[in-house]
Amino acid sequence: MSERLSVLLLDDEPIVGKRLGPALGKIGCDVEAFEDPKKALERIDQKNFDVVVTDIRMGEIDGMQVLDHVRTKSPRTRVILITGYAMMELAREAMEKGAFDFISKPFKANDLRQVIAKAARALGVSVDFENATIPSR
Amino acid sequence: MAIITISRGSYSKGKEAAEKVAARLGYECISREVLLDASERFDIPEVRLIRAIHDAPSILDRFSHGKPAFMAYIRCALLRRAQKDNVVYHGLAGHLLLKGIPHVLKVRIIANLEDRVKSEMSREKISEEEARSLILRDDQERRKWTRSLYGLDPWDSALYDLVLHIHKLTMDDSVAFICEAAKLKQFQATPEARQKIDDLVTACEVKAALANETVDVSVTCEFGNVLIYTKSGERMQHKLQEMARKMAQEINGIHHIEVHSGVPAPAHAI
Amino acid sequence: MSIIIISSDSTEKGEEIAHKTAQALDYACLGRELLPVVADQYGIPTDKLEWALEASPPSWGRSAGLQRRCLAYIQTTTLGELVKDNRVCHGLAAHLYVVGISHALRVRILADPAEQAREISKRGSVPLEKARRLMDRQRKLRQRWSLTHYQLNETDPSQYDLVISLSQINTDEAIKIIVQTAGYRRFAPMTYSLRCMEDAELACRVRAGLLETFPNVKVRAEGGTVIVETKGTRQNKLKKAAAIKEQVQNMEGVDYVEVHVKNGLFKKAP
Repeated sequence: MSERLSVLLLDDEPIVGKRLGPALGKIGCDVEAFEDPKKALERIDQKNFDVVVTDIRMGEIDGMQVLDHVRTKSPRTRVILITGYAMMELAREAMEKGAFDFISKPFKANDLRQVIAKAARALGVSVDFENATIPSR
Repeated sequence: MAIITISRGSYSKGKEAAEKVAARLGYECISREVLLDASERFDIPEVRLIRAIHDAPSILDRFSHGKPAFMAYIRCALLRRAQKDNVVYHGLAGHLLLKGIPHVLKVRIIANLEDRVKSEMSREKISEEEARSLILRDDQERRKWTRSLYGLDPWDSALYDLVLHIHKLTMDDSVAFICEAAKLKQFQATPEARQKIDDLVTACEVKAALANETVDVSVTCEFGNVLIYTKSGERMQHKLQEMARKMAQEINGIHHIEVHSGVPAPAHAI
Repeated sequence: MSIIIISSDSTEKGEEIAHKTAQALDYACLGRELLPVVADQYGIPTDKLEWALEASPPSWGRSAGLQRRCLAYIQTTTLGELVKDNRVCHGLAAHLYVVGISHALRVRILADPAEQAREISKRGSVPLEKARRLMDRQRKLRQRWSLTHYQLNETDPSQYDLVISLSQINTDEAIKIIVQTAGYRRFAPMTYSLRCMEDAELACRVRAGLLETFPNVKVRAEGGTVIVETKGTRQNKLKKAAAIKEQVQNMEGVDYVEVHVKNGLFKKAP
């Protein structure tokens, strides 16, 4: 029996939430999408998500701060960082701080699906990822 | 129980690493203290000692007594601190000033130039261009200093036991490494190593006492037996013998003292 | 789960540490044993591949081209192994082409210079002084070799995450330090770094396939997209681009090929 995976999706570009939200929904995720990091942090304070997917470069609050916040609030939550400005040092810093994974933009449709599946397995949640596709961006 | 030297460029976070290592191991963390000790003991203004240890020697320094004498004072002061063991020294040239002591853990911390520039900009409130040129000039000065006094390049990793890139590892990892390495048995003070430091302190005291008279002396000490090597003529040799007799009474640790003239000094002489 | 790249100024020490580190972590160890595989794959004798890894770079002519090609073949096969992860690699110059990959820990091992000189002196029955001169010559050759082929100086400590000198730290302790470092989370593989490795492998494989016919190609890969850059005359630009596209598009892992032929005034198209 398949369970649902609660996912918070944060990217200041609205298109990301609009495209990835429904796609993740199709593969067994309950997605809450945010463009404003402050609002996302407020929501994280209210609810322990299974997975948080966040962009790194955003206005006032960046993805690394979101990572720190989630790690303090809910160590169980798996945080996946996405960035268009990937660099070795940033990637190492993210892992050091406890990120579950780090993906560079543009990513293939399958990349995020696989990472989410990996996070679900790590959490012991059985989600049916078969026969589902996510549009690439 | 170890002696750790942390060599670094300016704004490379070496000071922070040294302080953290010292705090974790319960060691004394020293840098400027050495210059203050030397300044007090030999009655030389600190600023002149700073110049001696920082600026590359000029042609004139090689003929005057100034710089070699000051270096002898600084080395003497650092060795006295090292004699007490359990120290982290992050001042300049520690790995060279403590040369000859087997249980010194010599670490070099390196950092990205860009991060160093950023730190200097924010601390000194200067432009990026100014910060970069200051750091590069400082690095160049250090290389010139080490080359002229020791014939070595401070950037040569072979001078150190560990070279840690502070931005590729993290501060905490680097500190953990240094602390782990300091526990290895080869960095513990054995009775032989202690004897070696005592001998070096004695040799340094003698060199410091003679430094005002002539630049042309080298000193060795083994188990309290001091040999002074000089290339100077007979007159100076007599003068040195006279001084040696006096020193034998005044400086602790001298068992026997001799002056050798016309004999080349061994490589480990100071 | 990571890659450890060991570079050393002593082949024996590098090899010993790589093997023992691999054993300690239960990783596979890649070294010169890979050369017969490369030889089989590309039809080049193993001794030519060894020559390419060690010989002073010829400045021009067929030898220069052959050395470049041999190195590209070695690099391709090595990267093909490294993408499988959990590998310790030494002796294949990987420290010069596995760059910017966050899960690759790059370590430089420095042998004790005194011990190394004694060894060379004994092995070659030459005086110590000559052994030291040989070591110095070898160091300069490695600098020139690495700068010529990879535009990096392999003796520069800032290229590495960690530099360990074996003058005071013994091999077992060095291995312990490497194993401990490899366990840090910052060296864990992630989707991004694994993709970087796959891109590097694909780009290298494509370049190796093109080099014989198109010696000046530069190749980049992003996902399955391959971007090839080369030089050509105005007249044969289109023909050349089509030939490259034709050759590359059927290679494994290639989804899309982009070819940019720039005007090369003095280069005749092959």
